[in-house]
Amino acid sequence: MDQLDAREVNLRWPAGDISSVPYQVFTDPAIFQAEQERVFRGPTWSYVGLEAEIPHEGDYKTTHIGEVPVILSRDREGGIHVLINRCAHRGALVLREAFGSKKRFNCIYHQWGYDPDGALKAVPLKSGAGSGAGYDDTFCMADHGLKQLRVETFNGLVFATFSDNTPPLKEYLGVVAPHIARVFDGRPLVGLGYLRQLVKANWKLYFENTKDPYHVSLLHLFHATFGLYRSTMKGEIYAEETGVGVLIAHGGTDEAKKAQYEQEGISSYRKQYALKEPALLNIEWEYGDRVTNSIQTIFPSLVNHQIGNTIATRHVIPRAVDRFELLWTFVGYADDSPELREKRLLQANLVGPSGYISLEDVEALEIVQKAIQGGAHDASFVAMGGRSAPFAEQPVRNMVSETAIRGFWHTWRALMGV
Amino acid sequence: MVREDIRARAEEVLFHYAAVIDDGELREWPGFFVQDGVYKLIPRENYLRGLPVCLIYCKNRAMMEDRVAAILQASIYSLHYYRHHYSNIRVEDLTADHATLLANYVVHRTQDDGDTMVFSTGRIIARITLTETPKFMEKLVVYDTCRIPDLLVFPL
Repeated sequence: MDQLDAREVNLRWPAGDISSVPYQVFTDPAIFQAEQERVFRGPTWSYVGLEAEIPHEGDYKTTHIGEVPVILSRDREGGIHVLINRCAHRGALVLREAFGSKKRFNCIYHQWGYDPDGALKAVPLKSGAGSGAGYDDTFCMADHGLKQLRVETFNGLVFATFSDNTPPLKEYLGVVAPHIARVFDGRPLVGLGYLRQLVKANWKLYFENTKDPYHVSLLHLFHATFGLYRSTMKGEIYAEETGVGVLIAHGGTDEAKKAQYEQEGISSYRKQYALKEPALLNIEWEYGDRVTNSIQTIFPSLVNHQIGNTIATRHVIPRAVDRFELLWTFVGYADDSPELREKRLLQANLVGPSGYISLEDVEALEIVQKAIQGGAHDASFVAMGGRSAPFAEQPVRNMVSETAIRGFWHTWRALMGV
Repeated sequence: MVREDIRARAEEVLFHYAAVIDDGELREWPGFFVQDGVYKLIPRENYLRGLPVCLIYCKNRAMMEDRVAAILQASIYSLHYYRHHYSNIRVEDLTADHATLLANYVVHRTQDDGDTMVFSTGRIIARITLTETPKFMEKLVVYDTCRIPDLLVFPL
């Protein structure tokens, strides 16, 4: 398989360059196919869901790792499994609903039945019927379970990997782990709902976008105007060599810099614009700090956000070279006061497919995907703040920076062998 | 007011609402609601599972006016247009001063390049006042088309 991929991926990109990115990586179907093997089924941890989504025995959720359909399930002992959603008999989807709960996972095609841990437990007419011979003596049910992936959880987030070589999850998350644990702090979570959207762009453009603090106040007028985020704000960028990173912005400290924005006349800053209903931005500081935005990118499949009081996981599911699905899973804590819960629901207006500060991201990604057609050998320029991507314990404190994007490409090139 | 009369007025409100969103002045949108009227655009999967997150949630007219201001002044998106179609309009649960309005809807979206798609389909579950021109006390739009194509700018 690797040989086939090597033949098919023909990419001209100077060795070691991570400050310009050939557009071919966003448009070439052969690269998309190779990514499935080398990135999504390679030594990476992919997000599949939350423990809170499958609280009871037999509960399941169906989702994808790259293009592969998988099941997240809970067994009788409370153990969590990630199984390939493909019947060991003839390859049909075993579970077809997004969520459910069953004691036995039965494939509808020939009624092969599996336990929630993936073990094959039922094969109708195994010994044949009438004069039929059935399966021969070598047939052993234990050899025909659903394929299991390696699973690890981190404070309620469930990840799986196809590879034995993926480092332990905690190590993979590295310096970002405490930033995830700040929000996913072990308190019981409550799912508040889902939003889904289909974006006509390559999935990697979304990781570039969510690792890019440079665009935030320039593209998102809403953000800039209400001080949720400005480029002059205090912030930090952390990046790990695994492709995991976090962008943090601090609020309530930036009034002095507002003048600079007005003076520079940045068009996304319009001081006339004020909310008639200020409740939308009435943030309760929950974590003993003044962080308004914490965006954790967990390569290759997850972006978590805490923006004010809205908390969500954004599952990035690649569908084709030029489209991906975004599944937003909103959560709160079981011990939320009714007032805080209402803030989370109001502030959900900020994000998602209609979000005041996320709608434009999709627009930006889609106009990139449109413009790079026919430009495979042209390249983008991501040299703001340098040409390299230092991976260090110490964060980058300059928010006008593309360092995290360069880090992403460093990781991607290493995994892809290009 | 008799039921048939209310139904006719409610239908008129829906049609007028569609005209405002599709061809009219978006600033008139909040005027279809009472001052503390609630607007929720919620995916069917959340609605059926009792999950409260909405795609758009306005708890009063002020929030709707903010949404309009954001769409007109802040949000960045490609030009596109909606075309609303309603059917199966029913009025139920009549009380002295309000009623439940139910309807199915389809919205087509046309991009600036001239391509049209079925953008969203679902149903409306609303509470309306029994006034000369009924107003929404609460309008719940439960959308079946859960996987939003691209993004959603204008209210449904």
